Amino acid sequence: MSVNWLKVTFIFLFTILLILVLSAYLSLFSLIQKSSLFSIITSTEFYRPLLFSLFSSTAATLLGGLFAIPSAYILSRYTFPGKDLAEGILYLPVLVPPLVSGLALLVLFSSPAGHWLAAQGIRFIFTPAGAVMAQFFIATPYALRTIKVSFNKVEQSLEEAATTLGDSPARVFTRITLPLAYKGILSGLLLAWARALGEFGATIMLAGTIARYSETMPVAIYLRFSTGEMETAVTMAAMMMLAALVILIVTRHFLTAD
Amino acid sequence: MLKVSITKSYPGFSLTTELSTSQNATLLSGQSGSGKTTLLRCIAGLEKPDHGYISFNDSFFFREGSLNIPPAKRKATLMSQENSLFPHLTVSQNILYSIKKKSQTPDLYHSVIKKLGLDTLEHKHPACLSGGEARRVMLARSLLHRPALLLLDEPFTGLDLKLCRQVSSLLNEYRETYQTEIIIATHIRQDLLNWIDNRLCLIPPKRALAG
Repeated sequence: MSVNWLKVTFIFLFTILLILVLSAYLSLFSLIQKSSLFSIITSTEFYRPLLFSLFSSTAATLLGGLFAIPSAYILSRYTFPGKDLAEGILYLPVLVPPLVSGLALLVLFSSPAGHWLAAQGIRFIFTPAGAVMAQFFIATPYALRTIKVSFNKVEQSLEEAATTLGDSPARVFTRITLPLAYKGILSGLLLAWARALGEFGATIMLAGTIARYSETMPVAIYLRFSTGEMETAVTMAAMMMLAALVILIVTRHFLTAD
Repeated sequence: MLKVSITKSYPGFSLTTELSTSQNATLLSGQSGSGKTTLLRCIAGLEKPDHGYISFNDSFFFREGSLNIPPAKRKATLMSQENSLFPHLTVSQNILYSIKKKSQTPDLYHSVIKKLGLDTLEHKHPACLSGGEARRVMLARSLLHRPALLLLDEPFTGLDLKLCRQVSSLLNEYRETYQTEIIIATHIRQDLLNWIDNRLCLIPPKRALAG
């Protein structure tokens, strides 16, 4: 009997990857002290950044959806000069290191335009709004890509049929396009939310590391780690991992449900 | 009364058509690729002609350089060649799509689904339908909209002879009852449309001639 070496090699590499990822995250739990777990997760140092992260990532996702849904529709349905370039620019935050994106945002909001916004009461530098802005900036392209694919899958002949049945473009969008693309839209928003929840580089550059003010969960983990509070950092990291796991399960559910 | 004088070009394809309908039913024939679908799409407003004009009952749908009425405001419904049933809606929801008050199901609905043999399919979704069933649902949906101008692109595709006869009879009855102008583009079963006097043929070089 001949051995399928291709299959054996693939299974071997697959198993190595699976073990690496699983063991890395499980190792986090090995450092958690049961005796101090309760006191850590009930402390303000833990739940304040957690609540702020949940709030800021949700706000960033909603804001991202507001821009990503129309932008994805434009990229899916229309052709215009420079479209490929525009699309590439919108995906830049995925390709550029988040620290660089954060620095770019910091420079932007330090410019005269940023000063004008600050004069209107809209401040992003070293503020909670800055954390939302940084997460929105980094996470939106993830939603954009997924939502664009879902719009691509809605056949234009269906929208045309609705049009000749008397529907205005707005009614076609709400009665045909959105219901047919909603799974992809939800998946895109969940992906963006997960990315926003874990955002660190751009957030630390724009919102800073001000404890009990603009401190998100990843920033809090980094601060505890850098000050030698390993147990707190590990507990926070494990809780974040659980959150990511829940998001993965929910996303899979939406992607595979009929 | 529909008047069309347009040109429409794509790379490797050009359509130049002049037609004028004086009766409320017109049969549009021609070889595959002769531009029947393009012509219907231009009339429906889904394609913008390069030059010319389209008018219906003395109102312009399109006039080069100055006017292009959106499809939704033309009261012209196009039943396309491809399956364009809304997959997230049931058969009855598809058929009643353009009816504003769903609670008041019009008598026309019961009459049409019975005549098209759709009464047992009302609660099914389009994914469960055969090609012929889907065509009949699309036709029913177009009829329920009560358009002033009904454009049918190959309505007999996928239907057997008996169903073709039923569809032909229903269309004749419909245009007499509702005074709807019907344009049917087809290259099959033209013999069943003997109630249509006005026949136009798109022939190379893609010019409409009265037949």
